[in-house]
Amino acid sequence: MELKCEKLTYEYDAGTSMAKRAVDEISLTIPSGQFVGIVGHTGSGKTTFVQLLDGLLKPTAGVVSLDGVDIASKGFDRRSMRSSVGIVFQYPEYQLFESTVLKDVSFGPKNQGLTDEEAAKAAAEALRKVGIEEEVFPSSPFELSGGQRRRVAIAGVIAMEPKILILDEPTAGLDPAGREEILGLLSNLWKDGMTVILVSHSMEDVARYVERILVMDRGKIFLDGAPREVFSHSEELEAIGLAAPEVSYILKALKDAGIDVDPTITTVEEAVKEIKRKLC
Amino acid sequence: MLKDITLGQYYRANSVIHSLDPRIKLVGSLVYMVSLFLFNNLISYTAAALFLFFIIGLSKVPLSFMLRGMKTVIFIMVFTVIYNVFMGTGTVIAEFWYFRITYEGILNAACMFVRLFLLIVGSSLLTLTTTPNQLTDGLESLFSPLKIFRVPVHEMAMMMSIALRFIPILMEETDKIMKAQIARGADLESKNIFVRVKGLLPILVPLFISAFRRAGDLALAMEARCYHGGKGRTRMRVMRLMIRDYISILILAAYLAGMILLGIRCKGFMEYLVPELQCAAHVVKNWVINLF
Repeated sequence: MELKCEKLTYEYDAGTSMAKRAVDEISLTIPSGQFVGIVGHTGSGKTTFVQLLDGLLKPTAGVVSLDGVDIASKGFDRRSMRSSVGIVFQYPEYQLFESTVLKDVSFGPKNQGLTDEEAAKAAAEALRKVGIEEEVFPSSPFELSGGQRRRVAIAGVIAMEPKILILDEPTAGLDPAGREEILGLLSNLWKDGMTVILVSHSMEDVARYVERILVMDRGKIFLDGAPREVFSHSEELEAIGLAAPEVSYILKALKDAGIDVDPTITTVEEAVKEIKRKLC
Repeated sequence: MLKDITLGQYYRANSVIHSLDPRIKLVGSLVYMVSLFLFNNLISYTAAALFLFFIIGLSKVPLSFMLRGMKTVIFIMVFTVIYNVFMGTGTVIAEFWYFRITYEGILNAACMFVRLFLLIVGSSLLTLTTTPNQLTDGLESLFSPLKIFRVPVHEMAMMMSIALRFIPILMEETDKIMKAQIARGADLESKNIFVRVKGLLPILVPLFISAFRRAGDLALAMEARCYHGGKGRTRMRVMRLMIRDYISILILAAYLAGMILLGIRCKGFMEYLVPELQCAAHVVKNWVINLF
């Protein structure tokens, strides 16, 4: 499914003296099956932007369209759209409400109109994908650890089998191991054909997994391109309060010191390989 | 969704009303509310409304912003109007089953509507121009004489300020949870009332859990900073009455005196309008009869 927005604009408190433009005339296309990272510092409009993509906010101006159909148009079934575009909010573990893990994850599929058994099956499948063991299914979501709860909450959205999955800071507040798990999971989902949109402020996370990075600043798209291309603008990134991944600074320093390495490398693994190559 | 509730919200502006002592504003709102019940005639209502709009003008709070908050209380107002229209006693216009529409009922309803409107706008002006902290400081100071009777005034004020402080946080939280559940296909816009009530569960459970979690965190944070009640506590902002406060006391006293005078001198609403309405109804009736 192709997600497209044209001159998308959103203002909080539109029409009052306190009006604040959070998203400012963004136009772009996200083709089916792409892994997109959205980065930007706090208040740059990332969260508002993804909520517009899912139709949870009504744009002040502009259009979001899914496979060419305007999602704000009359007669467009927004509820069925929610089956194809899933969104995982920040700290999604605070939305859990059911008495058992399995029931909570079944909530979405049941809303899609599946029977109890079908929903439970979809839920079990999603829980397996996020790496939750079967013993945990009947326990209360509130007995789990923070990382487990996060994964259960993500399973709650995956169980609806969306074509496009949007995640708002899914790794916030997790330890490195938990972060790896979640990012690895997203990477697997993407390899299975899902479009994944990852909002994050961790450049390292984004650099390792995504194909395309959108850098947002004050409601606008500041940079848009492949990680290497975006991170080569490290000075511009710093000007808006962001930074390229740490390794790219090391490689740049090496390059400046006269060692012939590729300065556009953005991940630790590649950097290690590159430096080893140079040493041998 | 929930952002439209302006009742109890603070509107940041730089005005005389904003900078008044909170105690004056509290007493002032109280006096204004009481004054609305002193009279029952057209002139006094006009005077009270004019006075209120004068204060709103001074406060620099946009009227549209205030009226937006009224949407939430419109239900109560409509209910009062309907109740008064159908349950009045006096000169009957129409009657069916239990219900009786009377001239007095209609007038009463209109009167109650205006009164409620002024009451709500008047009290929302207080919260719009006073921060919750100032409000509780003011209340604490006004009620402090009760400490002699061992009433825990400080603790109650603290509870109130915490409650007020948490309203916007919990509202934001509700908004977030609602969006998350809508994204999971929850049906919150269904016409079916049972579906809608059932749809509240996935919102209320996480909301309560987060409220308890926040309360626990806050209690811990307060204890960690050695909070132990009001005894021996000093304040950062000491409230002291300024010239503008004394002037507003004078204005308030003048208003109250004026209202009492008007209330005594002016003829009551009822005697004043009922005959005229009756006359008008008569004319309309004759006109309709002549028509056929």
